[in-house]
Amino acid sequence: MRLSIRAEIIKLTRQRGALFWGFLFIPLFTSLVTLALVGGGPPPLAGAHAASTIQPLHSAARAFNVGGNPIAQLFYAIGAAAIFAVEYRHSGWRHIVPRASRWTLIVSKFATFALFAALSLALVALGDALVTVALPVLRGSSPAITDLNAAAAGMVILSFLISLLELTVLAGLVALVAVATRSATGAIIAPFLLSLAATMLESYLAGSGGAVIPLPTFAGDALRHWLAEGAGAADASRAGLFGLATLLGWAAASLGATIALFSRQDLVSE
Amino acid sequence: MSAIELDGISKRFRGRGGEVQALDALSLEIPRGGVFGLLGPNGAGKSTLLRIITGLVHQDHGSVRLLGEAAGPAARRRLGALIDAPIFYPFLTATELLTVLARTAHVASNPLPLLQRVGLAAAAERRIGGFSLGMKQRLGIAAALLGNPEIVILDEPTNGLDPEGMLEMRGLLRDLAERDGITVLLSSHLLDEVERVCDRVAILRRGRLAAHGKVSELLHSDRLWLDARPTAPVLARLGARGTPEGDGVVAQIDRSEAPGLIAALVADGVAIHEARWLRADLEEIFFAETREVP
Repeated sequence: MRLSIRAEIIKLTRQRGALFWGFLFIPLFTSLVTLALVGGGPPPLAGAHAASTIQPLHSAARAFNVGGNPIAQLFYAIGAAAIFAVEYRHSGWRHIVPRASRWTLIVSKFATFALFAALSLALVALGDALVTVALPVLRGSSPAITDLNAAAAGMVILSFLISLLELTVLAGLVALVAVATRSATGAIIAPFLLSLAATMLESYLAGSGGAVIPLPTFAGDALRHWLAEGAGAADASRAGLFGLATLLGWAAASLGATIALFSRQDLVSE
Repeated sequence: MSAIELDGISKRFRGRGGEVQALDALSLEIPRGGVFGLLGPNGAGKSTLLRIITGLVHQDHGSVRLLGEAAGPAARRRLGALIDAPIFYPFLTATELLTVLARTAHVASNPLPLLQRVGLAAAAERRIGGFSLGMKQRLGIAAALLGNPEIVILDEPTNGLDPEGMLEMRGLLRDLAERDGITVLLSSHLLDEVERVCDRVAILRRGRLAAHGKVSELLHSDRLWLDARPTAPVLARLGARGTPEGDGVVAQIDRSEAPGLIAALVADGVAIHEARWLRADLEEIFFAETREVP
């Protein structure tokens, strides 16, 4: 499996366009947006004690919300499609399927996506933290960092895991559609449309008393809400647990369906 | 033990145009060693058969055994294949491609010697996107040889090669069989190529085995051409087994009968100017076996 993952890494890193748009664009873009938002504020008055405190870990945790954003997911879908649909686009299966088990090939691709998604999310957080800390310093103030503690670090880690889980679900859907349609375009568009529709549904249902719908978008938001509210809020905990189960269920179902479909697929011509 | 054993392989495809029986209870044993040719007109089921052996397509019925083992990823690690057109990831170099394929297959990676063997060492670090069809064909052979396989399956391996490249490729195929002891299963439309390179052939027709055997046996003929004068005593002696042809007679006899026949004809006062066995060619056999009867 390790060797298969290394082979997938070579393939992905040589697809420079897909690597950039799929995994580097979002960290770059979110860092630039954070820079614009933080840097666009009024500069400290001369002689005044400027912006006395900052919370880079809380800010980084918020930055991880990008994993549930439909537009960001569109870009991550490009990265996932570069991993899963490349074999159909360039007739790769005929070279690798004979000597490897099909489920290993799919799981290796999932692992490769998860690795690059994790690195991308880490870059998102790093970019956010750098801008949050460095910009005030560059502007001549010296704010105190107030959230260098275990609780904030835990929140960062949990936010990261929620976001990574959301992206894993996305990868599962991209993989399933890529295998079913043998096309990268469908694999990018279909999960994006699902995510967009779920977001619209979420807006439509807002204020309707907390309808529980087992869709990844709702689940990610429920988990984030639980994280923000803390373990003490019973309703948030229940919704969070349901959200976690929903995301895990979608990830397992999409991975399982992809493996089942690919295992039975006749590769007459890729 | 056979290199490849196919037992009752059937495959039916369902599409918009209806159902197509690509393979129909096909059984075939490919012995170890030598070059085995797979022949057949378009739609005979050659590609489907190769894809079933390599695990790309699942058969509806029947079984495949490779070197005595049931075909699966582990058994197929002893097999290398170049199926259909040589299409590869254009963004990789030749070395990177072989490394990627070796890692995925969990076999040893030694790209440079393989690239040298197929004449691509100078292009080892070039992107495949810039390769000609002939270069991709050679790269495909190198990929098939990764991990020192005991069986190599090649689908139209001389496609896209210039005449010199075709000669080199045929030499390489013989070399693989004779020097390395690899069993080569070769599918080709070029009957002349199969006749030159293969030790054994199988001819498929509509998903069934139409003929198979050693090339030398298939080409073997029991037709003796006699340039004899006069021809009348020859035809009289042969009866229904003799046919006038040109200035001579074609005798349909067993090889063991030839010395006695010639001696008898000489005793009859017939002058024998030439006697030679007529050799069938593969094209003749191919069309005889695959021609559709209206």
